Amino acid sequence: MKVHEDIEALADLYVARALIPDERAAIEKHIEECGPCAEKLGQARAFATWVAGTISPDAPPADLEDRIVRQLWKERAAQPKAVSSRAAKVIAGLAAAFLFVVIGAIFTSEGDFLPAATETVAVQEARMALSEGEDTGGRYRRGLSGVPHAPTAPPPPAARTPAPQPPKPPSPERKPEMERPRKVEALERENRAVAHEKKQADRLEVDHNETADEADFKRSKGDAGPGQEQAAPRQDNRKIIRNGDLHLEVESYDATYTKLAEIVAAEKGFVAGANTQKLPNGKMRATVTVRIPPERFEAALARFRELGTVRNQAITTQDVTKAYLDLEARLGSKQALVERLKKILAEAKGTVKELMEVEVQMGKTIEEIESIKGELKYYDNLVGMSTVILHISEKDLGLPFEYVQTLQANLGLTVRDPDDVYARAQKVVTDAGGQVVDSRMTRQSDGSAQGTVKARIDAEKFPAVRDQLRKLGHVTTDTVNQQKTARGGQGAAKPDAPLRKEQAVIDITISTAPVFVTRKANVTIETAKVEDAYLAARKAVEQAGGSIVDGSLNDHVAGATATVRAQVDSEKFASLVAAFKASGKVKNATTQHMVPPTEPGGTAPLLRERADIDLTISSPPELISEDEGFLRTIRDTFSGSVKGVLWSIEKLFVGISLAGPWIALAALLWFLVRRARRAKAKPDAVAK
Amino acid sequence: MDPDQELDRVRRSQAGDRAAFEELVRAYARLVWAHVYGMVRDPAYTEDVVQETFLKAWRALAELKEPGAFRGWLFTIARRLAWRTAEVTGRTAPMPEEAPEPVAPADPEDPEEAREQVQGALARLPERYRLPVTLHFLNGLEYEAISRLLNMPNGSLRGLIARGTQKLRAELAPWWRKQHESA
Repeated sequence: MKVHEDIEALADLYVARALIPDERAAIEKHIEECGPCAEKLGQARAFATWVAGTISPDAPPADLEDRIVRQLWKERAAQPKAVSSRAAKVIAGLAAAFLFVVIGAIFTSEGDFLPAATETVAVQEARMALSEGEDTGGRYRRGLSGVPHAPTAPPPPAARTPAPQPPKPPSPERKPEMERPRKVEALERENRAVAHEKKQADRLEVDHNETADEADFKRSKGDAGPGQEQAAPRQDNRKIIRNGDLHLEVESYDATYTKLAEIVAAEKGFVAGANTQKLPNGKMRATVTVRIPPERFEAALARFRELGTVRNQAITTQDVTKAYLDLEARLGSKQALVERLKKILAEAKGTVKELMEVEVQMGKTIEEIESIKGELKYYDNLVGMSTVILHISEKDLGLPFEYVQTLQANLGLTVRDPDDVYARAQKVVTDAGGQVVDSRMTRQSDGSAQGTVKARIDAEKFPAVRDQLRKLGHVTTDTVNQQKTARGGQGAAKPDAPLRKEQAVIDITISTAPVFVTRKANVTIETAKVEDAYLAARKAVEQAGGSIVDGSLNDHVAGATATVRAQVDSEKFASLVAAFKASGKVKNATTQHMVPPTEPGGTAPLLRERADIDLTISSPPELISEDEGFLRTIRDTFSGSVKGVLWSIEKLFVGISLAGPWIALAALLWFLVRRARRAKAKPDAVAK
Repeated sequence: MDPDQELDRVRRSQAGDRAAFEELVRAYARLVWAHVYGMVRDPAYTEDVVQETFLKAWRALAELKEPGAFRGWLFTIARRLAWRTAEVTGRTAPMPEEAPEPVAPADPEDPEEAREQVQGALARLPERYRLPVTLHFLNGLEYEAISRLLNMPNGSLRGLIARGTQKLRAELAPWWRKQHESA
């Protein structure tokens, strides 16, 4: 260590106690000998002291740590947050957004919300079904590779038109297939091509469908329709399937069927099946399937047409020659394949695995041969005998076959005694041989009641029963609704169609006569003994058979008051009012008499007459009423202020619920703006 | 506090251990203080910022993904708070790096002027010098303590202190000389 040269730095370090003891010793030793260096050290020490002294007002307090710790737990620093506050805010925001979305969805679409989702699924399913349907070419691929076609993947474009080399799915399961003997694959490719041609041939069928009128028109002009045209020059080696569909309208099915059977027998055909149906109006409808030799097809059809009126006819011709030949060719090749495979097996060359594969292939091929043979047989059957389907219906099939007369009556009665009339009405019905379908009675709290009786009765007995019922009370409504309708078809039935009378239905409504207040009294009496008078009044009302609607007795410091509101029959009205008047000093008494209105017909309605009496009892007034003076002022003021407080509380809550959301929104906005500004301010500060 | 200890205390604090966090506060309070003082240059503000820094650190400790980076993270919080304080109180951000034209002291006897000069000189020091020098002169810490606090066990700290002190001396020479001479 060169102390003398580095004294500048070393002196500062010495002062800062940054030197190890050896170095310190070296310096201490050096300064004893070197004056300038001692001076330097002294300056360093003096500088350090000066700086520390000058800056000492800025020095942190000695108990800095303690103060921080104390403040730390004192302040709102509860627990460290488990989740970061930003993440929590984001999650809360998302949750709120989701909640709003759900609420919005519920409010805007209500029930449509879920069905919309299921609809999507349905559409997807339909689309999948469609893509599978389009993928007809996939049949070949599937059959060859044994790799199941993935339904989720859209069908490759090449698969829509059956290509000879469909795209191979890059599946590891395909690998074993690659190892199969080439011969087999070549044969299959050949077969595939044949099958493809057959498919096209199937589409070559000729459809001919014409209406009866058209057919008639053409026949009359001696012009044969295309169907007949094709049939006439039937070449020996062509395979043609002919089918007829004939809609006939006849007078009688049975007679027609006899003739039909004769024609079929004459044309060397047979009836393959018949399906008949008898309708409620007695008419017959039938579907008869007839097989006719092709050469007789035209003649038979012409004779069938004469059986009745032709409504519609359709003749379809399908040339299956090509398909048939293809099938035969495929049959030949498959049979040849089986022969070859047999030979391979017989020679038994190759590994066991290969022989097994040959065996499997042979089984498959034989299966295919059987299928082809079946298909050929089916064609032979169709070509060998033409099929005619006759739809036979009798004339006037759709006409109604009878008339129905219905009677429906509504009878409304008001009575004094509903229970009695309710029972008697039912008796009237049962005595006349009718039946009560439904009956019910409801009773209201005011003593009124309503009963309904629904009855069925023979139409002949209806007028008599109705008259009897009308006598039971005061008739308010009486309607009879009679209808005659044709049944069993459309349009008007024949005039001679039978008329069937259904049982009459009577709806009887029995109700208590309405109450009408004919008399009204308002009595105010004054007595010193309010309570006695009140009790006496109640008793008087009960004795008169009336009811007390409302009664009250208030005993104030200043005096007592009581009120009685009573309802009584009109007859008891006068005596009761007199009794009330006698119980004290009459201050006020009014009576009213009302006349019930008459019905439009001028008849007096059935009413229950009633009288209402309002009685007010009060003690004589004292010299100074409580309703004036100091106490009242205090009381009024106090109740006024309570009302005011309640009112302001109510308004406060209304205000909070109105302004609350907006304040929350404003706070959020302010928070976001502040955050954005701070984020902007930070880079500036870094730059500084 | 050595790094392993620190890591342990930080982890325990993250789990909610207050005692562990107190240890961290006691270990780093002066370091953070010196750091903030260098930017704010006002003891009262500095203490507020340090206080706020630890409060914030305690609250957001769970957000600290790397407990090993606790010290740097603490400094970041302190720095942001210091900036914000400077912004809010209208105080400017750290002093310009260049020393102003050395002007003759108006009154060398005035301790207030001298203090401002020392403050300015400290603030103008590059940060790596400023922290150890501040710790030394203001907190009165000796080399050993500074070395432990700054986690600088080898001799590199010596160079910083020596160079920092020299720079400070060069800047403050006029004031100190006057003082020294007059003393």
